[in-house]
Amino acid sequence: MTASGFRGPIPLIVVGGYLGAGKTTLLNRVLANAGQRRITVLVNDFGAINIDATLIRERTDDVIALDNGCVCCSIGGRLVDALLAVSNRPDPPDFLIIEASGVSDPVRIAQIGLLDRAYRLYGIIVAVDLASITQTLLDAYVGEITRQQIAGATAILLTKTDLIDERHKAAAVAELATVARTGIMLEAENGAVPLELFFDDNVTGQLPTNWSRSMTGSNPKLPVDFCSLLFRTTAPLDRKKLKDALRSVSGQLLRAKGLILLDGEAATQELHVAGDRILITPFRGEVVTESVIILIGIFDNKTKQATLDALAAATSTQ
Amino acid sequence: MNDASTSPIQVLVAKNILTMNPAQPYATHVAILDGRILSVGKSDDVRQWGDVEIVDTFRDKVLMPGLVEGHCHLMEGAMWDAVYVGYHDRRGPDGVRHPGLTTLDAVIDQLKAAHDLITDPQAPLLAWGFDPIFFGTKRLSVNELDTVSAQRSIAVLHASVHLMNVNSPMLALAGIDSETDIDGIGKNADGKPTGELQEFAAMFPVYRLIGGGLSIAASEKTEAIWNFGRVAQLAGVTTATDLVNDFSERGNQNLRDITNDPAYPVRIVPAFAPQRCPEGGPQRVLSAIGDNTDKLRFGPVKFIVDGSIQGFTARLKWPGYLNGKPNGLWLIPPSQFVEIFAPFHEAGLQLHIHTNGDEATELVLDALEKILDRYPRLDHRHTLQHCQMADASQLARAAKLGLCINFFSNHLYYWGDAHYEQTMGADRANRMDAAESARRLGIPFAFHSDAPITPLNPLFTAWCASQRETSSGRVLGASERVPVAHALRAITLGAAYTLKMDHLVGSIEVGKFADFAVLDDDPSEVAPDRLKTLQVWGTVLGGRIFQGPAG
Repeated sequence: MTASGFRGPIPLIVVGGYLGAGKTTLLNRVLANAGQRRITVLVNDFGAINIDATLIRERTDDVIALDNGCVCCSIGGRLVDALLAVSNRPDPPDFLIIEASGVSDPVRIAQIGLLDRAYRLYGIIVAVDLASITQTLLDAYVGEITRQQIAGATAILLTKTDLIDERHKAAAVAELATVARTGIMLEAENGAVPLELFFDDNVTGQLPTNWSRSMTGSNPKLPVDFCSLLFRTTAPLDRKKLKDALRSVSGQLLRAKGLILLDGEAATQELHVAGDRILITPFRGEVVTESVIILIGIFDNKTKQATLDALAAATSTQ
Repeated sequence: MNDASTSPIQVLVAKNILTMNPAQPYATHVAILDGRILSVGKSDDVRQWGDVEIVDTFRDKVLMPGLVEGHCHLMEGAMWDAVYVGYHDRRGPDGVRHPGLTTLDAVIDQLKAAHDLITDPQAPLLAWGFDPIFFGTKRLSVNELDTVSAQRSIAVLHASVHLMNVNSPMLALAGIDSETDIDGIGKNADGKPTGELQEFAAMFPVYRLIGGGLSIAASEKTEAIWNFGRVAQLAGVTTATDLVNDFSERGNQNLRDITNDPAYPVRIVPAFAPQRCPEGGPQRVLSAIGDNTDKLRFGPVKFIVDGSIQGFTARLKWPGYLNGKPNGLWLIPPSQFVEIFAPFHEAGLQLHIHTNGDEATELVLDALEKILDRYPRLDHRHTLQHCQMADASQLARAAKLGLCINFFSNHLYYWGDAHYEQTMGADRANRMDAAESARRLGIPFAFHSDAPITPLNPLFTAWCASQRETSSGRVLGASERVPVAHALRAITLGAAYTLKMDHLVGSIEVGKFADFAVLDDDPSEVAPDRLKTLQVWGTVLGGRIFQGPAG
């Protein structure tokens, strides 16, 4: 949000995954650790919502209000109505999470966040029960949709890893890697979901001083190379080359955002990336003199440099 | 009604009365008291009850039981604020026949004519019913729609309701351009949007702009409920379902208020859809049943487990789709069928389960078998809805499990050619909507329109089931043709049975509601081919006469 009162789009994360993959555990963990954020969760499925009773302040017909200001709504199939209602609220939430049904493709919902001006896609997080995934992928009735869910994810959360030995775990992860486009697979030990998947300010790393939020603390459960990365240049960027460069590293990329100067565009542009999904829109805030992009993902020293080089090569050549 | 009546008993006299009661198939007089049928027969029979007032409005007409549409949606009534641009003729709530538009040029001309009638410069032009499957490879694009208007925003919803076409002003307002990089936005060779928007996310920004237009939650809007009633009445229907209902407080109140109005011409049967509105479960339906009136009958519960065949989202068994498209989608995980259906079954409620493809049908049969083994229940009347691709073995199982089937027989005509050539191929198209097999197995059956997906007109649907002709004239599986007498039974008593209302409606018998369809000709005597063009004069509901506009 800027001082002019312009209300930015609502960050949107879609949580998917087949039955029993741990979507509800994940949501409970995020809601319990919402901090100052007012999160709204829409459950696009049916059956009871199992929110941790200790968090609940008030429960009405299809809305659960939590003590910390978050709200959880069971919306069944009324997704259009619910999304219109959320964005039309006088006090829209800081963050919207949609839990997709176990047999739906979360990408279909997530695309709202790439098109509608009221929402901005922050990720498609697919939970995978590592103990049963091999069997699920072979299922004649739901194997295909499970595959589709995994392929569309911008990050994968591995659950029930304690139920299998290391050898099985490695085999299952290797199988996932042949299906997934993202290389970001994080383990949720005993339901402990790394909140960094949802919230930028949990990520350790370098940040420009004028970025709205500072990042706090590191999470020992994250891969050592999970970090944020900063790229800046004063040379105008070429739209197509930039997209290609970002796509070339999308397997390691959780999210990226930035304010950029594009060749041929007078106005500053806003860049927003979730996995391999890239959105570039004119920026309504202040004009910048330098392109700044922050990337969050799994980067070791080698890929870090390769990523920065790829972005540097995306500057306009003329 | 005649105010000068001297007797509370009215007797309608007709050229013929087709009763659907095998004990007395034909009559000329029907006596009505307090909205119910007191007696049916000859003049002398009905006079047993004393003085009567003779009403001879129908002396040249034929009466049959008011038709029952067991699978349609109030949404039919919500569509008519928009311009109809479908391929087939369709009558609006005002009785006006909207001729089918069989070329893209005709669609454009119709939109232009509608555009010229809009006075509000800001209002979008909305249209519905468009079905490109009939235009080969030709598509409607932003270029053609811009010739209608390059200033006013336009949205044309497809018959399937899963796609829409919009013009450039609508694209601009919705923020869709060549940079927009999501699935479901059609692009041409130059990377520019064609204006075709597919599925939820692509259409969402348009729904944001057009507000309540082209929306599904029809019982929230009183005018939609009224329009629905008028469309049903025109087709001779006196009992109709809303087979996906949210049971929202406002929607239910609207339905109570409107059906209480004596001028409302139809009994409405809303089916609770837990998938749209999960809270409350069986208790929600049980409490609604407590408020039932003669004209508003809560009770059925609707589940949808797969998609549509023409949209390639139905779940098919091997060998799948003829054109090689991947198998369709589940709306409920098959492994959860039992746990999701069982509470409603145990509560004594009746399930209506949408299964389009044969794999969906099979897995639902598996689930119902388990549930019925565990909690046996007599006379549950759980009904498979659509059940378009069931084979003989599945029908035999349905019979053993005591299921009813409501077939989507209108598909034979509207998409029969597409099924034959594109979706399932000859083998399965010839056996689709196998109502005659079901009849031979003793399965209680009905046919439906699924309006607004196809037009609400049970006599036409009976024609589809008895003739099985596609729109190009191809006959699909002549051995599955249902004899006309049984087809007429299916759109009255058959459908009433699937709604557990056969003690109230569906035949002209003592004790039932005085609900009739009034026709010029006797449907049991005309050539079967004429069933689809029979003139419906109007209806009688609870003894009250509703004359339709001539059309």
